Amino acid sequence: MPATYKILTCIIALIGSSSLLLTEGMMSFFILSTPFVLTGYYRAVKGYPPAHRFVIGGLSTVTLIVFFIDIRLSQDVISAVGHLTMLFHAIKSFDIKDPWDPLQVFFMSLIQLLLASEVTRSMIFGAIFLVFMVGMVVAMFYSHIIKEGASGIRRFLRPIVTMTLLLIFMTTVFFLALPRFRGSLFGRPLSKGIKSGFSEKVSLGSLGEIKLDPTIVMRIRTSPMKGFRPYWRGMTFDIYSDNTWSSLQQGMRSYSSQNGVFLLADYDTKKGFRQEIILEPLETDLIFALRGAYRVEMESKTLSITDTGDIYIPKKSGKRIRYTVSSSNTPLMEKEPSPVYLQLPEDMAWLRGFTEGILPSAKDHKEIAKTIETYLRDNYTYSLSPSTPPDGVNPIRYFLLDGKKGFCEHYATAMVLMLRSMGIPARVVSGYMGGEYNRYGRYYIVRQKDAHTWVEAFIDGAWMRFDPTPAAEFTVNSPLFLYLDFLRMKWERYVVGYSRADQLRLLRFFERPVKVALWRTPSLKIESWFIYPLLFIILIAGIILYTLLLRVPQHIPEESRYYLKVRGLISKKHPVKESHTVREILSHFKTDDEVYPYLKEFILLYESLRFSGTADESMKNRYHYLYRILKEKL
Amino acid sequence: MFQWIEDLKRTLTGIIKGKDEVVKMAIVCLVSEGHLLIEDVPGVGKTTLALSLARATDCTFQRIQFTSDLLPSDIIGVNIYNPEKREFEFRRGPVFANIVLADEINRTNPKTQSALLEAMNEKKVSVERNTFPLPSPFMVIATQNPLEYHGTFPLPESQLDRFMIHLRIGYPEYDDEKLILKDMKGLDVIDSISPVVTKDEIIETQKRVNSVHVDDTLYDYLLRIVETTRKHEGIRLGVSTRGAQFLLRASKGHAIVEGRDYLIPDDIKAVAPLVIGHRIILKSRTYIRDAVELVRTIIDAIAVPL
Repeated sequence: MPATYKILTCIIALIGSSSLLLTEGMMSFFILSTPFVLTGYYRAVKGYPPAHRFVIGGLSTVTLIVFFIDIRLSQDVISAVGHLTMLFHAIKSFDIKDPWDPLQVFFMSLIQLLLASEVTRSMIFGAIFLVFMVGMVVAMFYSHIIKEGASGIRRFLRPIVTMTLLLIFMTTVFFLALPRFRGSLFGRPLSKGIKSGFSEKVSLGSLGEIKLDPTIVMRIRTSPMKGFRPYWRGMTFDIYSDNTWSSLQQGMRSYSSQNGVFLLADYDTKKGFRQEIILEPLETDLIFALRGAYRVEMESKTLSITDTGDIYIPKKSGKRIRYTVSSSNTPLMEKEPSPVYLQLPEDMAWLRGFTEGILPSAKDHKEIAKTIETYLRDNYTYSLSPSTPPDGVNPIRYFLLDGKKGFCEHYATAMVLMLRSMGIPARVVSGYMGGEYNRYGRYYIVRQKDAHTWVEAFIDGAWMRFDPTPAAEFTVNSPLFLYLDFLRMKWERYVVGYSRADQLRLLRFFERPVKVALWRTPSLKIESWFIYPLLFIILIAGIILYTLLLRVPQHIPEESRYYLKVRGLISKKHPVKESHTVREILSHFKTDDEVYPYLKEFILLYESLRFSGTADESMKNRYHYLYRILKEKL
Repeated sequence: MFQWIEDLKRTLTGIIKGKDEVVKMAIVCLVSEGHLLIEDVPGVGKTTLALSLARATDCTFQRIQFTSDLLPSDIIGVNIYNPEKREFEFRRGPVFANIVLADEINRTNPKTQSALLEAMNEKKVSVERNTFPLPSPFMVIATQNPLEYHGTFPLPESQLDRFMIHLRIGYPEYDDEKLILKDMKGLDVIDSISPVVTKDEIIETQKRVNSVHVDDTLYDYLLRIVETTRKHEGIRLGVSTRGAQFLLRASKGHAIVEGRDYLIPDDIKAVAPLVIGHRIILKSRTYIRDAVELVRTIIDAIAVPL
């Protein structure tokens, strides 16, 4: 076995294991198998003999026992099988004997990639998959060449490149054309969800921790909102007591739909804001959107909406969710607010006096609200680590009178309580505010640190939004980050999230006349930011192909292929070099050998067919006949 | 294909025992219109080979023993005054023969050497204003003692280049040598050889060499060998284009001798060390036999066309 073949086997083994490690679902302890894999293949390449079969057998048994313990303890088949394959890679690396052993390694790597594909959605996995595919094409060629006895992979460069390109093309076609099903093979959820601050009860100050977290929560594709910052509404809180906000989820109604389209209210579609949202797995069953949602589109059969406009999905999926919401951005469901929105905790009698103290004489509800909003914004300091109130002191009282430092929750809670003390119905709403606009993909990137709490007050028959929190500074990411994030989103959308609907759209695309389709289909409009890397890749591939085609050696004539096969058979018993001519190979055989006369005639015919420039059918037939005889006898 | 080749082979190996390969190469050289340089210690049958070859081919034969005082005119001839006709007439030298044995060519001075080598190259002799063509077929078999022996003028590379094949005969195997001792007949046996081929047959065969079919991949194979000698780190001077031409021609001749009218890699492989060996200059060692060994290792590393 050539050393390059062993090195290739090693690379494929490492590709398999690294695809598993990429998923972060494996125990990091098993990374330790990698040095063993490298050692094993180093020994194999250097020509050390394989380990003793008792050692291999013993280690395999131990590994199986570890596997069963693993399954029993973790109850997770995928990670247990993943661990098993990684250990087997290490053992197998010390046991590479004949050309069939690498095939087992390839198969294990394939299993690893299958497992990984089930768990990961990373773009790096795409790259790993591509490398694996190219590696496998080369490896399959190699094993075939070894089987046939030829040596030197270089002359097969052209078929390998052609095969790889063909395979990539076929893979793409299969990917696009294979029927899609909902759900995954094992139905295993992704990694744990991101900790969110959204539950039915939220104690004051719990958002502070989250607001330091830069993890991306969602990406929202929509037209840029110039002039105002978007408030991605999540949950409405009604009752404040014991320094905790709780949501009553009043008037929860369920909607059901067969095609995934939920019409919540009649509204002119052209006037609304359409938001296409990809929500990372959050530990909540809330979904976020601009207020005034009247149409939701998502892969779900049911949906629940409260009176306050909070949208709930049936259960925590543990996966990324893609949904589309159209919002009017003005409240739609206006009822006379329930008395709940005037509720105040017991020890808040002082608040009305305090509030009246900052108000001018005007008694207009709207003016009152505006004044409070401005007052809080101007006179209090934004801080994510406000000083804690002394024991027994109400944190809002401390915030308003003494500390005067806090973040959105303090501001919003204070404002809501002040409004309620003045008899104005008010509530706290939490969700996300703003986000970074990615101009490459035309979408907002919303992170945990964009989590926000604001105020809604019922004034003049409508719920109006107020945000007493002063604007905090926000960071801007580099264009490279934004571009990579854009690519990730495309990957997420068109590779991981490729669905049946997309297939149908693609079919429809091909139904139309090409000219019309290219220019008139907005959903498939070619984006310039996507086309440049594509052109670049095509250019590079073209250059590589061109140079390869120029340097590729001549193709192998048909007669030579039979001779090569015979040479391969001979090479199992006798040393055969590429510089050996047919006659030199014949000289390995004694003249009284059984095959000698056949072999001699065979090579004379080969020489004549190959080099004389003349060939007749009877010679060819005899040549093929002799080949069949030799195949049996050698 | 050519019966006479087999006959000639048989005749010669009957005299020079155990040297089938050497005999074959001498015939290859004859067939491909080349000249042969035999380098070896005295007494291994250099002269016998040349003599028997001439006898067996019905060719005229001349032997020139090269000594340090030999003059060019001793080889090509001289103008002598004929008192009867009252004019100078050209008296042909020993070079005017089908097969010329230049014995111990490195014993004479370069001036005389080059006189012979010019004749070899151009197949004619020019004396004063007259040009005299040499007979056809024309083949020079030169012998030389290895360079470590005293009192020699080693042939310069440009002149070595004119020899198509450079051979070493070497001592015979034990059994062959025993056989030689047993039926020692002296040089009489050479006189008793009867020709197995006519000159015309040889000329016809030489023409056939030109039409040997060569597959395109074999040109590549040959050129790869030649190119490798030019790039090899142990070689100061690689094979010239003329060397490549000689290699191709000798390979074709080998194919004919083997009874084929098409070239196979074995032909190139068989003659290459003998054709290339004396055309390259090594960086370290100076003997041609080292170069031949190096050429063999080079060829052993080049894949034959499939």
